[in-house]
Amino acid sequence: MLRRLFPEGAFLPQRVGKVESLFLRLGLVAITIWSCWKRSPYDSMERPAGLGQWIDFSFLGKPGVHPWFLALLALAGSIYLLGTWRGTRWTLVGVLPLTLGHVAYWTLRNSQGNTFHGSNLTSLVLLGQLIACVIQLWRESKATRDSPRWPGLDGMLLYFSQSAIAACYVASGLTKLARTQGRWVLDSHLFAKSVQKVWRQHYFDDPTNQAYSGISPWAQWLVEHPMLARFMFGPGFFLELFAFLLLASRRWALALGLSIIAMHFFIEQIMVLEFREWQALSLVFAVNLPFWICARQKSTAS
Amino acid sequence: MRWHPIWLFLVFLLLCRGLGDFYPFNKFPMYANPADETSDFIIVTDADGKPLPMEKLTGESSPKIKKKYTAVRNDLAAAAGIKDAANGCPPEICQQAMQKVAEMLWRLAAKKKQTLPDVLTMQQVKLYQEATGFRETTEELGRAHRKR
Repeated sequence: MLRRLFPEGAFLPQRVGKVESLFLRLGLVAITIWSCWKRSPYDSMERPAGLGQWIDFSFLGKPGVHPWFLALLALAGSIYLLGTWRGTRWTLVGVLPLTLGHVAYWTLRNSQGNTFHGSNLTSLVLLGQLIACVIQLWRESKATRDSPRWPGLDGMLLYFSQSAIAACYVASGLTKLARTQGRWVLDSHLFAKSVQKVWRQHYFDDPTNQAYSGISPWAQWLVEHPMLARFMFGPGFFLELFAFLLLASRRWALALGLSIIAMHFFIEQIMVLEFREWQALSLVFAVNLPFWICARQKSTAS
Repeated sequence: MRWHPIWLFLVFLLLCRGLGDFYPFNKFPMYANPADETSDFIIVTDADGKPLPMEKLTGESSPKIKKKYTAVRNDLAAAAGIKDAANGCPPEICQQAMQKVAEMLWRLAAKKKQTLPDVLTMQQVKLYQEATGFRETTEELGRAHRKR
């Protein structure tokens, strides 16, 4: 049974073809540019966070800078895409400014005294890919052969991206575990007040919109059905905690990727909280539709 | 490389848990403790207590304003040698924090070519979950006056 779930080679990187790699890269470039699309409303760092403690990124919010910033990301993205055929150096030259640009843009946003978690994952996926490029370049300089543990650049770009996704979800699960001494699922019915809080916050963000006035129907339902509430929230908690399984194989990645996307849609329904970038990254690097379409075509042809 | 490549997952996980809020690393503490007794949020009103549509006027939503206020209050309290500002913050520190946040809101509104009243009040709304529903209490945190 265990052998069927985790066949030989489980948790090792997969070999990735050029077409699949191109789609993965296209997905990441699109998500990165989309993530930085709006001009930052901030042109100062009220409470520097992360690298902002040493580097002043406030220039990114100054008038006239943003179009140039987007142009730089587009250029870097193009070089990174060409790296699919041109190899590691081109990929590195492309992914380095993408990573620095994305981290700088969101460090500025997170240096205002209120942390936003919607874009951390994109930065970490880019950082993982940057690390993969640096190690690959070092291996090429030593003429080290590819192996099952390091099947070349394209396989490692995918594997390290999945590692970043898994690390973020497991970190979130562990934080829940630590903060509640393991009682998170048992206490999860008490979330009703958080659901109601978000509802009220939406109302006060625009008191003329009556859609969020009064009591959230979801919050009221959760109060009235505490046991069902635990059954609703429990799977999400375990999904986060066991997200590392998406590194086990392509099938695991597909199943967990779809589950993660569904979990965020569920959260969006009851809490009106969107995590679009996290969903998009899961769609690209865990669900990875181009691979499954190619695999199906191959199996049909044979 | 002889190491199993899962090491990057472990390193990122350790950094997320160990560094805390160091972008892009984070513990992702949202909704980590559902058993907290209350859930609270902050609303900004005019001098008469009428809630203002802050997201439209400044681009800052209610959760962002609360996080900002909490961070500024904690910084001011820490500078004054107070460790647990959430449980007992001197009124003058809360007032200072509120003034600083209000100044940021006036600035952001001006950038969006919107107008905010010269007097802003902040109200803390506490939400309690009870057996069959919810109870809310509202407490005024302070007033900020625009300096010309």
